Amino acid sequence: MKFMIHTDGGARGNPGPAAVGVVIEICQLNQLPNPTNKKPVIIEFGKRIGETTNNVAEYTAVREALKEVKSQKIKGKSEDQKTKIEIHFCLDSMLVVNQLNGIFKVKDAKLRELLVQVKILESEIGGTITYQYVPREQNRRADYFVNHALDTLMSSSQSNSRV
Amino acid sequence: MSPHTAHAVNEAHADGALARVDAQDESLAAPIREFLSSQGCVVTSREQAGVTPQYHIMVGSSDFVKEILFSLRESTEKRIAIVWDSIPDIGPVATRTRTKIVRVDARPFTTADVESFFTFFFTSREMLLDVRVHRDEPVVEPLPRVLSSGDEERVGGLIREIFDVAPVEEKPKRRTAHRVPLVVGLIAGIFCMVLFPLVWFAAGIGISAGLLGYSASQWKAGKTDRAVWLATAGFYWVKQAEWALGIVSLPARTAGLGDAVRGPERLVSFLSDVGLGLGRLKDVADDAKLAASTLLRADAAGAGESAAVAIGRLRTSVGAVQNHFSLASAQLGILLRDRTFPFSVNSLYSLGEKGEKAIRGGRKNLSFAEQLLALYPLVGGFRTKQVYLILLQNSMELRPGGGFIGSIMQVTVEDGKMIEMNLQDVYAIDGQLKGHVDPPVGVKELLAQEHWYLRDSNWDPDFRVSGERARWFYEKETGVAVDGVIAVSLPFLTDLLSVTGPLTLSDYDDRITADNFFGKAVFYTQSEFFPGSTQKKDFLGSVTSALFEVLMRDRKVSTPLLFRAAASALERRNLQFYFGGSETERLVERFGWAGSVFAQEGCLSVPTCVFDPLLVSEANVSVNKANAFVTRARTRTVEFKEDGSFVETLLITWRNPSGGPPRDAGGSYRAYMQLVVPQDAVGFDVLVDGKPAGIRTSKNRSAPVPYWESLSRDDRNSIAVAVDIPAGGQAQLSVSYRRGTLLAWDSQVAWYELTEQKQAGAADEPWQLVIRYPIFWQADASGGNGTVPQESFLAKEAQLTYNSTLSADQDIRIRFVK
Repeated sequence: MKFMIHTDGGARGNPGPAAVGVVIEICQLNQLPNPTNKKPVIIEFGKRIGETTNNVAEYTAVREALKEVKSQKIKGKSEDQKTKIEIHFCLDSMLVVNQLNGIFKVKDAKLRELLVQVKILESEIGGTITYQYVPREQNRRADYFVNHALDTLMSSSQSNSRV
Repeated sequence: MSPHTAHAVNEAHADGALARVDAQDESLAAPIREFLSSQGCVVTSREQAGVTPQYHIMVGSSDFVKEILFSLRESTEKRIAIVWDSIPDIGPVATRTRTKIVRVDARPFTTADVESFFTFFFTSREMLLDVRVHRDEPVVEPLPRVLSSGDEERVGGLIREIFDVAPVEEKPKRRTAHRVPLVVGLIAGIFCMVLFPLVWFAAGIGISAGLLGYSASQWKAGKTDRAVWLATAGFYWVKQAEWALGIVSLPARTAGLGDAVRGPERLVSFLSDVGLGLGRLKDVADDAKLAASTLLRADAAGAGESAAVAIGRLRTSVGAVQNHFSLASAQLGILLRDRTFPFSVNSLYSLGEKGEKAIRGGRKNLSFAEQLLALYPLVGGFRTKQVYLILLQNSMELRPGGGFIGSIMQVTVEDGKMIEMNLQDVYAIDGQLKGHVDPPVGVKELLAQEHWYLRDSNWDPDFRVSGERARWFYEKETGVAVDGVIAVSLPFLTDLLSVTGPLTLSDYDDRITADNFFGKAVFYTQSEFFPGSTQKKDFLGSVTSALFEVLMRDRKVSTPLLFRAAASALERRNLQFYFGGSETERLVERFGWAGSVFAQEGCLSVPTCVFDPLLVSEANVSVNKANAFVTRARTRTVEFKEDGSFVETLLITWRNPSGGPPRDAGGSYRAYMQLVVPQDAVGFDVLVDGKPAGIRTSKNRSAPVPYWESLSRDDRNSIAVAVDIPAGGQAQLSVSYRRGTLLAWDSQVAWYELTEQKQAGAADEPWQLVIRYPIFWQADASGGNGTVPQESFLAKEAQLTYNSTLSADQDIRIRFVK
């Protein structure tokens, strides 16, 4: 299974009320996302995560996405191909991408804690995981869920939709 | 009480002032004012002239304090200066003026801080107190405290004794606890002493909060009688809660746990001030109604008291309400900050935040009222008869000053009353101009006007320039010299209509309401429109005359709503004043009502801060009423580089849904945009619909629209862009420029303050601000003149975004940390 994941995080104020946005596209391995013959499964949600900084929100978004990948729902679909999982993350945070790729040092204690949580989830899921920086314009859907969660003041809003 | 003190107190109360507080930063001084007020003292500020205080408190930097001390005349008042930076150079002047000095860190003061200041002020023989946490030089230590810090009651009592003011009401109420019978059965005692008062306290708080909240909403709706009844009932229940709390808190106090009941006490105090403030609003409404009758209403002429007395009483009642709301605001702020019960519950915390916002809004309106009343003695014609020119600007045909000047009024005021009012068509007046006045380039070429007249006099975005120009034209055309010019834009008339209710125009056999006003105005001004038409004069003139008639005759018009409409118009620049180079002009400039460019100074009290103002002023040069249909949205992006330089991009998008005649009075829209930018802005890059616009210069005068040109002169840096927005279409303008100034770093911190000034007459429009910066910087919105809370910004990596509506000036200060 291949997962194309767009994540985003933001805070109203820094620190301030924060939220994450996650968009996961699941398709068969060796197939591009959104193939014409079989539509990919899409899981997308926004979630408020309390008061924190935007960088913590970005990391939390990655962690929440990995938790979602690990969840029973998705694991059930990919049980037969557990060892062939590919996850490709697209983030508009250069700092977080470079830290997850080991290029930048992580000085902040809270971010280091989140990085460890992400790495543990990575090892639990297995497979190949890559992180790529994308411009904000290419991350609009995830950004929408961040804003939506912050605007609607839902404490744990989560909406899944399939297309 | 010494005779001298008694005399001072009486005199102070008679004057409405006792202690004067001068503050460089009002937010730091607020706890001092509030503490003094809570002890029953009357507090005044530097701006209030003619008041002789007995105590003078200065808060600010040493330069700020020094400037005040040097300007002091001989007087007997006691002085204290609270300074937050080095003081060696103010030592001599402080000694000469016998001023005590407190050295503090530049941070918000706590109640304990304020108590220590006043303990030192009133009890110590030393002249210097240092309460800084980080001291950089040896200083004189303060004497041991006479009173222990944190004991608010004792210090409060001491200050009351010194000021000789009556104790605040709540103290004797607490003593009612002692009236509770001491000999009761154990169970009944527990019930009476703890359980029943506790339930009664909770009921009192809940009921009073509900009643006061409802009262506030009734005020907002202009239902004053019901609002006052609710406020009185709410206050009664606050007193019930206060009584119950006195009993409940007795065991805690006896056990030395007084701190535990501070929160509930503060809650009661907050509700009490809200109740008193709302109750006294009735006085404001009554006094305002009386003042308005004296000023405007013909049947009040010659009867009753003079206008000056009525206004004086109104000022006193507004000041009293302002004091109550100020205290309530401070108390609520502390309750929310400390998350004191019941604000520890999320839903009630949100409710508290809404309440705080509402009180802030109320205080803002009261400040407007105070400012308006301060202006009145200067413009009321008390010394000599005053003649004013009122420009009625049609914002459906937008101009830099607010709209096309279709009609004008000449108003004469004497002894605080309006004695004459004449409405005239501008074309009739313009026809009397003898000689030729060369118009500005935009008027000449885009409006094809060979001569310049009064109707196009508001072409400059700065109303100080346009107002003077209008005054000049009016004098040349009519021979009448006016003392001031007042510009009224169409949205203000709509707001007034919503206060007065529907008007019946007998000439038109039509009924005009706030909702249909724009539509009717479009309809009546488009029919048979041509320069010189009297149709336009008749309609706008009829509406204005009818409005004045209602305001003068109808006693049912809600005065609070009228004040609010005026406050809104002043904030949105739909009402602007020009009084020449007089003292009055300086006053309106300080209030921000002069329509000056730029309207305010930025970066106050932060010398290293970079100020970045911008004004976008639009003129409709398509000779139609397209602005009734066209919508506009803008995004301002500021991008900082690592070296501290920055580039700005302004993106404006228009949509023009009008079809033009005969369908409507709109049609193809041509806008002439004037952008006023800081003096060091350079490297302009102008794109229209993504394509570079041509440059119009003195050598290339025939550049087709879209084009842009420089309008810069010695005292102002500005450019203008001409853009076409087709009927039923849209257009996008992008203007980029870079600033010659770099961010100034001080200990890894840099400050930046941005202002976006709203154009007079322009409709509210969506406004987005995007601040981008290197990823290793951190940024937050922090203070400034503006009131944009940090939570309004969406922080993403290396980017802050703020979405709002440009309905008034926006002022935002950003702090960068490396």
